[in-house]
Amino acid sequence: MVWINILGFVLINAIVYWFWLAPTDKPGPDRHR
Amino acid sequence: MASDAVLESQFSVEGVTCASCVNKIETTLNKLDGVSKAEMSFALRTLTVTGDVSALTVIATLKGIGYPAEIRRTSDDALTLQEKAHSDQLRYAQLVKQTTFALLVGLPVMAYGALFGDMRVDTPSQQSGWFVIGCLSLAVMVYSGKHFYVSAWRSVINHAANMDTLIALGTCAAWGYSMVIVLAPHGIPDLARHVYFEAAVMVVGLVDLGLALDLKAQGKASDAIRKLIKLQPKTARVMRGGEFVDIDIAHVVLGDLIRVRPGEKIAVDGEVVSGSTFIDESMLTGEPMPIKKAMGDTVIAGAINKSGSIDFKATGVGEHTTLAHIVQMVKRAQSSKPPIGRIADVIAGYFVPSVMILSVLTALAWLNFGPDPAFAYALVCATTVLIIACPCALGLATPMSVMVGVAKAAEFGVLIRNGDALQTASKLTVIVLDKTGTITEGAPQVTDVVCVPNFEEQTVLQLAASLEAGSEHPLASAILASAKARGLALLESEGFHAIAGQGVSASIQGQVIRLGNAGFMADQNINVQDMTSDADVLSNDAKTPMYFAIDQRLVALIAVADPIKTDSMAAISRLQQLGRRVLMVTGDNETTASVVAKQVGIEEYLAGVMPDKKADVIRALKEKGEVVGMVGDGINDAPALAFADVGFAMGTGTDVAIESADVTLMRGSLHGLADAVAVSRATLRNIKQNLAGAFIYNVAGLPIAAGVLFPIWGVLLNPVVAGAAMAMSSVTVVTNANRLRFFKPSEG
Repeated sequence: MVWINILGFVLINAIVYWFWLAPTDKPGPDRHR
Repeated sequence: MASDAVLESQFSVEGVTCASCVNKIETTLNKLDGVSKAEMSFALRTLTVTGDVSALTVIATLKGIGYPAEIRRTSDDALTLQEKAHSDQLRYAQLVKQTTFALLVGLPVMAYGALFGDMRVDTPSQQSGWFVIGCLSLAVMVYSGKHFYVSAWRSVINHAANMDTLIALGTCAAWGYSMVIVLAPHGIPDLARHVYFEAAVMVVGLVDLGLALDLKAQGKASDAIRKLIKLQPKTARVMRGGEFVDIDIAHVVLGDLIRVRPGEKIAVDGEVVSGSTFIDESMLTGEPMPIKKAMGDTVIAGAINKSGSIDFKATGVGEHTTLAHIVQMVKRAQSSKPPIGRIADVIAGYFVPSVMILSVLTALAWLNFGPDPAFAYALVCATTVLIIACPCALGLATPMSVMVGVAKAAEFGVLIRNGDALQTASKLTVIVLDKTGTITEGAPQVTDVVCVPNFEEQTVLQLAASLEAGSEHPLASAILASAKARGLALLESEGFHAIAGQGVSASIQGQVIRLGNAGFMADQNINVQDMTSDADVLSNDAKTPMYFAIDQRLVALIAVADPIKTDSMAAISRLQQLGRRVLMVTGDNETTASVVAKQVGIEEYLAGVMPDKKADVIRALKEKGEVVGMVGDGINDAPALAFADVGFAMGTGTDVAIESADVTLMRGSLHGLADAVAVSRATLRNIKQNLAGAFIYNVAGLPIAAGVLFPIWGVLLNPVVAGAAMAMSSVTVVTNANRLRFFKPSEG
């Protein structure tokens, strides 16, 4: 069970990183910062 | 114009399915180097880019975010609309096929699950049976759902997420999990060996169905602009080589002589050179009564010639007709967003990644705290969360209503410049009306001629008009117009003499004729005693009396006034009924102002306000926290119009100051203003309903999908139900926006 929780935590962080934090030269349309 | 130096190019963009696409395209392009403005018209699927940027860069950028585009070489809106209608039709047919295939596979599987027990995989025969179904489901996902996966992938590699991302993730999770059970059932806990192929298939089918319904409804919403474009006939009967021939409208040039017979439409803007007729301009100005047109009058493209035959000279062709301006303005306004919509866009932007996080949290919660089979519950709930979330409803809420509302307003002859104006017009608390040209006709007319015995009105007017023939004073033109209307010939006059602000004199047929105020007559030693009481009565009625004398004898009083438009009073009372405070501002004197105000039912007025001080009046009102709308004729009221929260320009059909105001009232009637306020209120109400619906749907749907009701009532949502709800939520938004098409402002 522990590993599944860790996996979930990693997944959430990956989503946050990919859609909000990742540096990119292509401006993402959903970045309203 | 400053924009002459800036390049503007237009592109046709494919794959724009909903408002979040418009938002995506605009935000991406507006961040491109050199782009000063990128505006996407959802109605026409065309993109206008202003700035120093190459077309190839724009096309490459659009392709990068998943929208194939090409440069538009034609500015022919009718053609674009035709192309769009054709491509929409193809897309609709395609969606229907995709939906049918998905439902043909999905419904029997679902029926089997409902009628013949659970969809478990225990025996090898079940295993092979479900394997076939799994492959069929994959075929559905590829054929019916390819567009979701392609679009989702394109967005994700660009660090973006949209509705397609959620559908793709949800269906892939359901299918992948089921396939793992089919291939290796013994690797999964016994209780969790349940397949969800039907979920993947039905969600794809139902969302496709929703898209098809959306497409239909959106087509209806852009009907208005299609109707406007259709107003212009395709051919015109033009004088060529000494005779009238029918030629294509594109070949009509400025100065062409065009003949229009009864029942035909006016092809281009022009000026009547011969004949007279009644013309119906209702589709353009909202004015229901046909208007008489004779030599020298202007006609506008798209109007219908009712009775007589006329010849007119073309004064505006192609993109320079009033109709073309209206179409342009409506299109531009339809693609603009009011502030309320921008908030929704920001939320929609954060929405999709948040839903993905919520889905992971849901899975974790079920795995940690859920009953057996926890794994299956976790999968179902996480998938349902992904599927039920509908950012599209949020994104569609505003633009759909704006599109319908702006077009609706145009039907009543109200041209709204943009979404800002639309939203603010709905919140106006005070409406400031200019008097001349807004409440009144704006052109003084002779209202009364009071003569002493033995003198006739005709003689007095003829002499007065002959006297004033050389003058350009507004009062003089009123007298001249009155004489012309009665067919009176002008007489020769000599020794014309004018004293500014007092009066004029000249000699006609050996007699000295004088026309002026009481002071002028006193200076000339003419006794006006006999008529002062008449003059007082006229003054008290907001009329300007002038004394008329032949030699040294006073013979008549001529009163001139600016008549109140017949419908001003009714329109003002409509505004008051809508709860708006109405204020009249005029440069005229106190007496005139008070009489006019009383006649039209206005309680508050300010007299003696010069044009340049009107802006100060607006400022003072704004400082008190009022939201001020100013109505004027658009020329001398320009500063006040610009200063008001919403500036309404009174157009009179043809000489429309379309570019100068936030809202242009084509009809030249205050009813247009009341219509504008009513339509904007209805549109805003519609937007709020849509947004509230979309928010409530998502806010209520997401927790239910995650399973919060399970511990209390044991209720869990099926992913298929979630898919149907999702599709229905955006269909509901579009349908609600379409309701606006039936809106009718109450005529007072």
